Amino acid sequence: MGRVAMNTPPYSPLVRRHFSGSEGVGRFEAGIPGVAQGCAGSREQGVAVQFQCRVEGERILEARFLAWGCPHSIAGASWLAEKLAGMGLAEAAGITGLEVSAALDVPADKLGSILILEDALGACLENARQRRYLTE
Amino acid sequence: MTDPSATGKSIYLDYAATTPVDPAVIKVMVECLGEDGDFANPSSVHAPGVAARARVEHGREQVAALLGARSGEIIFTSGATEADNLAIRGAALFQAHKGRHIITSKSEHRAVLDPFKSLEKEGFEVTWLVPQDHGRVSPEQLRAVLRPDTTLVSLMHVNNETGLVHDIGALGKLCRSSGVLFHVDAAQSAGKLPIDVRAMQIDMMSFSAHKIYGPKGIGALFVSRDPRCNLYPVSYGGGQEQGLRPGTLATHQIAGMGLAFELAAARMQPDQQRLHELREVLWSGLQAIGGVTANGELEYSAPNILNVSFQGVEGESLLFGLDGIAVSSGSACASGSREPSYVLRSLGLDDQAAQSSLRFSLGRSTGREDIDAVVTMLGAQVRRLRALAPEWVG
Repeated sequence: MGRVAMNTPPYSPLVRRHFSGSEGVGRFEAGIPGVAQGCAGSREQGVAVQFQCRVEGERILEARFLAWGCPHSIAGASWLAEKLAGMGLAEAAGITGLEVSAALDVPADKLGSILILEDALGACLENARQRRYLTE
Repeated sequence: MTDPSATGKSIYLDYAATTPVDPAVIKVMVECLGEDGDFANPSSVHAPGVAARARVEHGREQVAALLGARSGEIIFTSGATEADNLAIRGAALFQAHKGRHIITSKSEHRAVLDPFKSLEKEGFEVTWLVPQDHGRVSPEQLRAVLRPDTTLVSLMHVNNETGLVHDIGALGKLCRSSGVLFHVDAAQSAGKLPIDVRAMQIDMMSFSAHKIYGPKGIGALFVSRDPRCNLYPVSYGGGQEQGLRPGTLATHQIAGMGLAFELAAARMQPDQQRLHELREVLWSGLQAIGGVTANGELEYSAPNILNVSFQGVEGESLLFGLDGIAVSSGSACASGSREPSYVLRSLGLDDQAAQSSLRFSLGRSTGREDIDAVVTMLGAQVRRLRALAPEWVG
């Protein structure tokens, strides 16, 4: 069997911390104003992620995530949700999958999974921009 | 063994991968290593060599006794993988003048699949059976693909991933009556299920020591002398082991394997009864988590193995979350790939179900408290990962 036991490396300390628990897990309650949402991935792709950002003006106040996938994907979503809090929309749009990979020391063969996080974040930020356009 | 988080020790439920060496086996091995022990070359004719040879022949008798074989039918190898290669390539090439059609199944261990693939590249025609009888190849399925030019069938006794057990006696009878050589990989069954190579009409059978509390690096191939099974060696360089496996005999490894087989024979029935009961407790506990499926019907599987898929959970994350529990997963992440298990795929599982599977294999040190701790930890982890997943992937 492919066959490994226990939690085998390579998992960086940051991956371990974010996989084990995060304040950003979950969804905002329905009805909270200024919440944008974006999703990417599927079971077939091995990763599925949903981001929500609560936005006021140009600024992200806080972020939430749900994720299904490998430990690096879950930890990456958690890391992103934590990083997004307090960030401007334009600055957040500059975050790349490569930056997530470097921060969490993700192995090269997992880069495809991390790029799906980038897609979900991009969809969430685009949704935020559209909502802002519609309300202005 | 108890709660891994409290003790810092892992709960080891990967005995189908390998086992620790029995203390009595370690002792007998050490007796063959030092200057005061039986370290000499067993092929030497001086007194120390004769003493070492006596150790080797005693080990051979102990291995043969577990199988209902004669000691002269046991060829020591470096393990079951080498034994599989010797049996498959050696027999197929020896029989090539009679026919070049050989048969195996897609759910065999790679130690069998890869020698078959090598022969296929060399011009042999291979029939790759997909097990259809509850994950097993039935005699009827095998009978349907036998041909006049078929020379060899290789099927495993117990599947290393699912624990499913082939009806070796019925398959052996069919092969013998059809004039086809029958090889069985028994790496997972030796010392765990009764084996009688005569009654089961087996021509060749592969074993390893480290699956039953013996050392790694030693195995054996049973090669029938009655009826006579002929094969070519796969390596050359000396006359040891009837010319089939040249190289200086590893006295300590052989003595260790012999004792491990003898101990396994004595403990087989009580061990398997106890493990069967523990597996029932494990399966009952896992079912209570919900959304779990046994891969392979337990009714047809060896009592020490349970392979389970967890719906809605990604396999690598599940494994990663089980800190302190040593089990095997259904994907080949050891090799850096996340390819789902081909064995589970051959049972009809989709990629996600195969990747979300775990193999639990119980052994002599497994206790009820280990099972309870694993069920508790797994339940918590599965619920956490399911809660973390977006609804649309559920």
